[in-house]
Amino acid sequence: ELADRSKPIHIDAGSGQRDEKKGLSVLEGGVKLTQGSLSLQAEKATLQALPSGDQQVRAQGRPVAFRQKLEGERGWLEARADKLEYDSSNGEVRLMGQAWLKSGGDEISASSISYNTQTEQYRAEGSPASTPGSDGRLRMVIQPRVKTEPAATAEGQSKP
Amino acid sequence: MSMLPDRAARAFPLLLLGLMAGMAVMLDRVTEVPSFAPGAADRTPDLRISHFAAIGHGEDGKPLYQLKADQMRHYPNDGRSEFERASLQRTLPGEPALSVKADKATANAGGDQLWFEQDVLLARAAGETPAVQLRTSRLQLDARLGQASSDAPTKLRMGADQASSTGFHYDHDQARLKLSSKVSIDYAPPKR
Repeated sequence: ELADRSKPIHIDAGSGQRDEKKGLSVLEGGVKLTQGSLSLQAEKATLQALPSGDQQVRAQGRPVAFRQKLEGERGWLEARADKLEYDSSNGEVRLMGQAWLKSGGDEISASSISYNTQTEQYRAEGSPASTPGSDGRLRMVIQPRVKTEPAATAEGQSKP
Repeated sequence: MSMLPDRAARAFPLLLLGLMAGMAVMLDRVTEVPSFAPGAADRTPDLRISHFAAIGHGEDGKPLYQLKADQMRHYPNDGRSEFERASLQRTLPGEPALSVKADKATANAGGDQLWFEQDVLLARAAGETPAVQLRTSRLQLDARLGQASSDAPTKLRMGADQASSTGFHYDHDQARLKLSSKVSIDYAPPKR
């Protein structure tokens, strides 16, 4: 949801380490990050904090799992990938390696998928067949939008 | 929080380092006590001071460090000093006040290794960065190695951000902070 961006960020992890010189924090032992309805679960994550208080997150897992409620009443978006990058300042999520995303009824699998949590738009990219473990193909299932028939009145005429 | 909230992560080491340096100087002088009873048994102090208070002044005559305790005991066998309900305050010019309180504190002979136990509260007033508070039940400071550590649950709060873990280790030279286990971090909502 759009409101997620202004929610606190909460992180749980097995252990953590911060390297002052690099300004980077590394969290391991199972990492769970939540921000409003958005949640991300990974084995390991590195975090770079921005002056605004936002976070640039790089997560990896087998796989990394991502979930967020869509705006309004359109259910949830779910995604998985070997690696995931998330920038809470612009809402950009990048899924890399065996990427899969399901939004409402639509479903995509590709080598990488980009999704923006603010515009709720996503872009999928296949990859050359030579890429190990990938046949280069991109699969997408788009659910037809069910057309709602105008309500019929008692006299049997359809409303304009 | 980042692993530690980033701002906290930067302030936290300075908080500890400042404290270490100050205490080492103070305790080194305070613990330079001649042994009155050489060869006394391990658990027998050779000096006991009630309502202990020691104040270090700067050149301008203003207090820089204040160390108070309900009681201070000095042990000749290893030169250590033990303090009951200890409170150390550091008030350097132009810097936020820094303090540590604990039910028990122990300083080694040289005063450069310090152990705090039970209700340890490390606090620094707000300044350029928000106020910082660290609560734990055991804290060890090693001014020689520039390290601070605890094996106990620790909570750190800085402004609206907070982090907690069970055990931490900070190495100033490497500028590296490790949170041993059960890490939990809460960032305040980003500024939009």
